[in-house]
Amino acid sequence: MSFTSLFFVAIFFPVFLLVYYVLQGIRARNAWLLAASLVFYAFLGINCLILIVIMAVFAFATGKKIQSALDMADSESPDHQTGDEEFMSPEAQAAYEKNHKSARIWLFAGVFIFVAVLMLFKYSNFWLNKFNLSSLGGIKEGIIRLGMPLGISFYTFKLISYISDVYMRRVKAGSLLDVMLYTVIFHQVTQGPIVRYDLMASQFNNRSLTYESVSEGVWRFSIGLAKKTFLADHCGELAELFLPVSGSGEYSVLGAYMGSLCYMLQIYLDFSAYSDMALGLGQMIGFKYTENFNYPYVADTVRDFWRRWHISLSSFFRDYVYIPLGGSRVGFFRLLLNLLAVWLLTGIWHGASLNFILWGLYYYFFIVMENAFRKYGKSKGIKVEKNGFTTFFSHIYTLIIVYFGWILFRITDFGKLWEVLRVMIGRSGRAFYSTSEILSLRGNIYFLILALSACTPVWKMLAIKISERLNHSFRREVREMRNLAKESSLYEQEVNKDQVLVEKYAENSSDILEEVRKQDTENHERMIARFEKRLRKRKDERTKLEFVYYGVRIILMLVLLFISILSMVGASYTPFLYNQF
Amino acid sequence: MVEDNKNDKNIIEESVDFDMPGEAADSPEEDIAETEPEISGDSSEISEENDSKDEKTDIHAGEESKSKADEEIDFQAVEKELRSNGARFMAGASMGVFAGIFAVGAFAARPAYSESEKRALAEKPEFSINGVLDGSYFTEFEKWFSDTVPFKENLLGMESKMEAFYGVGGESYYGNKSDVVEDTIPETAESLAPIVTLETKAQEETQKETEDMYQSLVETNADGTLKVDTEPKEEVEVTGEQAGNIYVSNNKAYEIFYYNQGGSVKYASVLNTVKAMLPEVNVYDILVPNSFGVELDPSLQEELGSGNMQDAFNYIFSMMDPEIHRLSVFDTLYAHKDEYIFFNTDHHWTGLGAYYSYRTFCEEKGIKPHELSDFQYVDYSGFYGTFYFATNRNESLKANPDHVEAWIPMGTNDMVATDENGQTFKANIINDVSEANAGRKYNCFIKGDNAFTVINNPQITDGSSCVVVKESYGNAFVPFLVDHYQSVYVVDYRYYRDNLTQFIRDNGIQDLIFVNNVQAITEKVSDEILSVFS
Repeated sequence: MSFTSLFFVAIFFPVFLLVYYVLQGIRARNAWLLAASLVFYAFLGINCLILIVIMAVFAFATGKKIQSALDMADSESPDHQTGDEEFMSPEAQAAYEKNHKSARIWLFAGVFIFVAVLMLFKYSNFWLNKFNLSSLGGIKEGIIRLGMPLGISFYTFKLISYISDVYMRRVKAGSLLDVMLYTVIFHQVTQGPIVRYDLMASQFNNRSLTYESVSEGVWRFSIGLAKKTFLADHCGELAELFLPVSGSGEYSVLGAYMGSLCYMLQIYLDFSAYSDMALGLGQMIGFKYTENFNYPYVADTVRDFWRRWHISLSSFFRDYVYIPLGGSRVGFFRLLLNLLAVWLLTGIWHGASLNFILWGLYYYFFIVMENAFRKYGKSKGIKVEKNGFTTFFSHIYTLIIVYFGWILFRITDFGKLWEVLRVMIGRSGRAFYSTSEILSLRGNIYFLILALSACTPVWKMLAIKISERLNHSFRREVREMRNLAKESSLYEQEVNKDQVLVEKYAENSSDILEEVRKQDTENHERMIARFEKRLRKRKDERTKLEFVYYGVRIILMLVLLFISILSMVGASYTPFLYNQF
Repeated sequence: MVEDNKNDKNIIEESVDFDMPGEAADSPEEDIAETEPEISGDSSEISEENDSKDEKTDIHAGEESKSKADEEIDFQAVEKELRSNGARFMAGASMGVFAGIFAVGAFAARPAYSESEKRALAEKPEFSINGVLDGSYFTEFEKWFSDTVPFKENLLGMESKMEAFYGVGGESYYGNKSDVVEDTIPETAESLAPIVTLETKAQEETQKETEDMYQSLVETNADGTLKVDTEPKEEVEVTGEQAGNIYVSNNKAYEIFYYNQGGSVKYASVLNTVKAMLPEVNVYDILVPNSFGVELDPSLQEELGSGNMQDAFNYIFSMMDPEIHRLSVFDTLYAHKDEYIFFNTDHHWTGLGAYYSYRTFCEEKGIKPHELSDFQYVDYSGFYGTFYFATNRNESLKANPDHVEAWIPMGTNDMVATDENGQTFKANIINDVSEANAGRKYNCFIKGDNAFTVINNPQITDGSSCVVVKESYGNAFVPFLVDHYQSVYVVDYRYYRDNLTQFIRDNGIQDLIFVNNVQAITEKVSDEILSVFS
């Protein structure tokens, strides 16, 4: 099941949410979440479900084994700290080492199994075709019969991160239920983000469900849904229209450029929309996940781009590959090797085809160049001045690199890739543009502008500006409330002070005291009345603003949901013209 | 429209500083915190209160705190409490919306047939263990669910209205170029010889072998100018069955024509084969251009697809046995291109277009055509054709609906048809479609596409008869033939399953008339035509 299928939106999701809200207590809710996630995943076939359950159980067992080995190591040498080795007795050290070693063996075994399973499903076709291992046809057939388990790249990585975190003592090994829920939670199981276990586990038993989180979650989900169904899918159609990668379709120079641009839009909108939906679904039931995208197309360097693109994947490679290999605290050539490992893996992870590896190396090249440039620049004392021009130039540079990266990413056939690149540099003798392309461009020009704007933070900035207005009015109201509260205590202080003064200096104290008190009370009442009036005014203002703000938000949400449904229905439109001829 | 899509309006609360592997090659101060993943930072902030949504938050939080004057007001807490009203309302509203979506999705009536798509919608899959195991049951189920969504037609209509805002209106282009195979039209004369040799050989051989011969012919010609793409054949079929690529301009749609060399050769060869099998029968071949070729400016045609439909026809005819009466009605229709000879929203020609072609046919046959004024005229309005639905209700087409003009034959208006499934029924030649669905008014002519149709004209008793082999373009043409033959037999080659050669021989048919439109000249269609003769 996909988030963007009508069945999910109309049946699965409302039923899930209703039952979830009706259930009381975190345990019942977790159980329901797990059950719903299993049903969600079962829609990919029971075979795939069995696989993921086995993987989760295996991860759970491995985690426990690692944990117990680590615990044993700790209990046998309770005072052990890193760097203590030289002060330990040889026996204690040996025992510690032994336990640690067994933890490490379990870790390696676990990682090996996960990687092997991933390779088997994702890359078996590639290898079998590559080396023509027809004798292994049986395996291939079996794999095909089982079907490609959706999300396997994501959940195996989650499990690898889990057992690694247990090994590195970032988390304690969790219960079977927790590990299972972590693996199959339907928000993340098909398309990520690759959230770490500690973040999830801490929320399994402790998360807050507020109206804010529900409304924010619905809002985020609606945005994601519209982004995917309304923007990304149509961008994909346009990409295929301008630059068909399959079939023998003709395209011109303009078509090649426009098609690649649309693909660039599609891949961001599509992927980030899934993350939006996952985050929104999580928020609706009180989970907070980490952001997976941060407007990658406004990056100003390639490094910056990768800090903004698919954050959970790049941080995975950082934490579990790059840093264990020594990170950046190594010599320059070792650093090059470490980076190479990361980028090769990044390429391979994206798909079983040579062009993905090439794509990884492509980024490797630019990352290394940027690092070298920075290093060289620093040692020579060259400082690139940050001004309008250089900023603009660095954005353009990044966009160009990313743009051609996506062409490499999109076209798996090298012959075709070469052809497209030749067309793009104008060495093919093709027309500069064709009429049908101009017509398609004209007919989608507003749509494309909208899609482009959705890749930039302009809408977000607008939203922040608007919500700032509301926050401001909240603050003003709170200030009045505070003044009001202060006034009462000020009044009491004043009365006390006056009493003391009067008793001290006046003869006929009771009369004067009365008078002074009366004055104080009058003052106080006047102040109270004034503050209350102001508070009422602020409150009116705030209520009005809030009404408008949430009113607009609800209407926008409805519109987003509605156009998403329209787009989903439209996607099933396949006119069959029986009397075509 | 713009404000509908504030897509990134939500706030990314905290952008954690994610360092990339490439980070900090040489600067220790920027180095990554290696021991602690930054991501974990947020979790501690989550407040303790579980299920606080169930707790009542007072609307008048302000007044309440006033009374507790001495209490220190927690700025954040107050703000939060104040705020929850709007959020609460929004949460409630959104739950209501999802409940509504659920109600419609679960309980509303689902359509089973789509009038605009002209197809039966997906069916609920049969439950099967295997399907559940490999997931195909669920895939089918979801497909059924989305394909038969309640109020589908209304939603589709709204979707097309939405798409009208995607760009500048007026001219537009619908289609997918990956299906397109476009060849250049060769010079006329040079390929006559191979066809003739095929034809002579075909005479001596059985039907099946002819087909094989034809295959080899295409292969042998696959050098130099006569390049035949064997690979994209599959895709050509897709173009044929579904909507082709459509160009919309001035409230009128045109199906873009791409010349297909392999199809042209094969089509000519099929005609030659038929003629060779039935040498005593007069074979007429009427090739009908579409509105794209007739009405659009030739340079525009060239830009969009292939221009020069008439050159293509001439080339095809040049490959045919000269004994075949070859009628290109291109010139005829071109002469009347300002009249209503093609529909605006449908890929067919109108009755009027068919009438002008009928006059050309009469000229070739040497008979005197009837005048339009001789017939009884009928007109049915409110027709939206295939283009309208293929473009998913293009707004500019919507503004320009068609009407179906027809002329009832003088001799008779009765016919007997056999449909695809072998059911025989009676119908009129010109049917009253005033009540018919907007998308089906072309069925006015001989009740749409049926496998086999018989029309006997009681006013003619000379034993004359003809067979019309057609796709839907022929439907508008047939009524004009009724007053010239005692019997008119109409065969739709897509549905006809008997042996037409035998039928023609048995019934002593004199005239065999092919009415084919330009989009039908593909290898697949030629195969289909050939198949009805065996």
